[in-house]
Amino acid sequence: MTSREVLRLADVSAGYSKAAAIHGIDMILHAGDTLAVVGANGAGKSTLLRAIMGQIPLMQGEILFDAAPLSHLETYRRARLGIGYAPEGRQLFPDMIVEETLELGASRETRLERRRRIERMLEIFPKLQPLRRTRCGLLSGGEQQMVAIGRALMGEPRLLVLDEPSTGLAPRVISELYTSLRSLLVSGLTVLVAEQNARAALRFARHAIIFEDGRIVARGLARDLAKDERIVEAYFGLSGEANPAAGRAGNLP
Amino acid sequence: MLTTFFTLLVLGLLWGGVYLLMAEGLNLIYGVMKVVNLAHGDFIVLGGLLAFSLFSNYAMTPLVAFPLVALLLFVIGLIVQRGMLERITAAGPEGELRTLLATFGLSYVVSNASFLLWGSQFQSIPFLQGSIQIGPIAVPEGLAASSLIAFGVALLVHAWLTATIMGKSVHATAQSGLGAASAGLNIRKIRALAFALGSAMAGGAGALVITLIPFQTSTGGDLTVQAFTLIALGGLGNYLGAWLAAELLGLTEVFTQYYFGSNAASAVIYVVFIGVLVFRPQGLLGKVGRV
Repeated sequence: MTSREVLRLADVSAGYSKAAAIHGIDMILHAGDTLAVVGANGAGKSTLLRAIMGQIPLMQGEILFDAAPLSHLETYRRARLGIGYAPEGRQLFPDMIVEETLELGASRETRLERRRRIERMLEIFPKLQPLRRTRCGLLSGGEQQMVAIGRALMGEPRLLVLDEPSTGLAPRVISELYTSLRSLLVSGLTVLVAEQNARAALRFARHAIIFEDGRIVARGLARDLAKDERIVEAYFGLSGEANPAAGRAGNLP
Repeated sequence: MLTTFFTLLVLGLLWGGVYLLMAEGLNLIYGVMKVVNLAHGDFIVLGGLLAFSLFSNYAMTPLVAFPLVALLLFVIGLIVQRGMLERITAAGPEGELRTLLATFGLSYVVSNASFLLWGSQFQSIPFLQGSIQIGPIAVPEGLAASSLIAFGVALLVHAWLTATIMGKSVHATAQSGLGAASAGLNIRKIRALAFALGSAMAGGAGALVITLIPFQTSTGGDLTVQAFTLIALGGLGNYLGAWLAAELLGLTEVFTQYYFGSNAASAVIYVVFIGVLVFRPQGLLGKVGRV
């Protein structure tokens, strides 16, 4: 890997109470890379992403973005530095229309620039084109997710952080969503995506890490991990896509 | 007969403006930001009494005192939000209940501090006591000025909230703090600005309304209830709705008072309020189907 380092986590532990929810996490993300964080519900994937976004304090370790430590920066500062974040549960503004929601993702740009970026988002997510004046609360789950990702992209981030984008979506909508995301990669965007839906995430990402009980239990190329029998058994389940009851990998190293 | 009717109509509309003036700050703080501020009425009274002191000591007219008092209350609002409420909401779940209790306490602090400074007697500023003759109808100047300002403020805030990126940021922050922060919005600053602006509007309103209604340090509680009623009636956070609700209340009060006496008037307002909530629970211009 010769390209520039975008995100580095060094020995990061974090959590809500005294007990850490994620322990000693080391990971590096290079420019243009795509990394999937896969694991069962409660494995600590969201905690990891929240720590990266400054939603929870670190207990130990350091997070560097573009080689500079993020330390105690608030979430909005991290967003302004170039980390686009689509949080778990989408966190849209239900009473606001699609255009306005997108616009707020680039609130510090000029009106003209905001308009230009909104048009660009509507090209990336053409499904939103006819819905541009619809209130977000009235959109379907897939459309809401597109708005959430669009809002994160409006700041023209170098790193896109997605927390469970496929939750609650039908398989067809999930594949549509990931197709749109794939189209973004040409521009060299770096993507970190946490997913319970291992199948979709491993198909999308180049690299992957498997999370269990707040620790990384496996890492490597996504296509290799997707072939690993133990992982397939633990995270793909028998019922296929988006299995919330996906079991644990048990005796993984 | 017809003159009486039109006089009552005009008076009702003008009193509606006064009620609107006193509710506008809370409409931003509670209606938009969803922060329960039980000290709202006490802020109004504080603003009024400050204007009273400026008038009695420096002969400053309420129109000059209005921006000064508003500025002072802006600073007080900023301190309350940053020093108290932000810390409470940051403390996580049940934040709303804690805010409610905290501002309940604040209400006592403000009204008792006012009591120490101004005592318990009713105070008022004699200002714009004359009336403008429009045809056969005499329109009290003070009422007309307050209504005009109230309407102007409503239009301005409505435009600010719906047409500017800062106003939209306020809406967004209220609907999802995390969503707003991930969009790069400084939510602490936005919350502080909204609370301070709402407090400034309360203070400014007080400086004008004290020329129409005498204030006493304990008047605050009633004004708080009245303001909550009005913005719930209008549809939380909706400035045009609040204006409609205010006119409805003003008209109802003036007409009932004229035909049935003042006891009936105060009761009928709440009958109207309950009626609207039963048939249109989201308020006159409120939206349905929140997610």
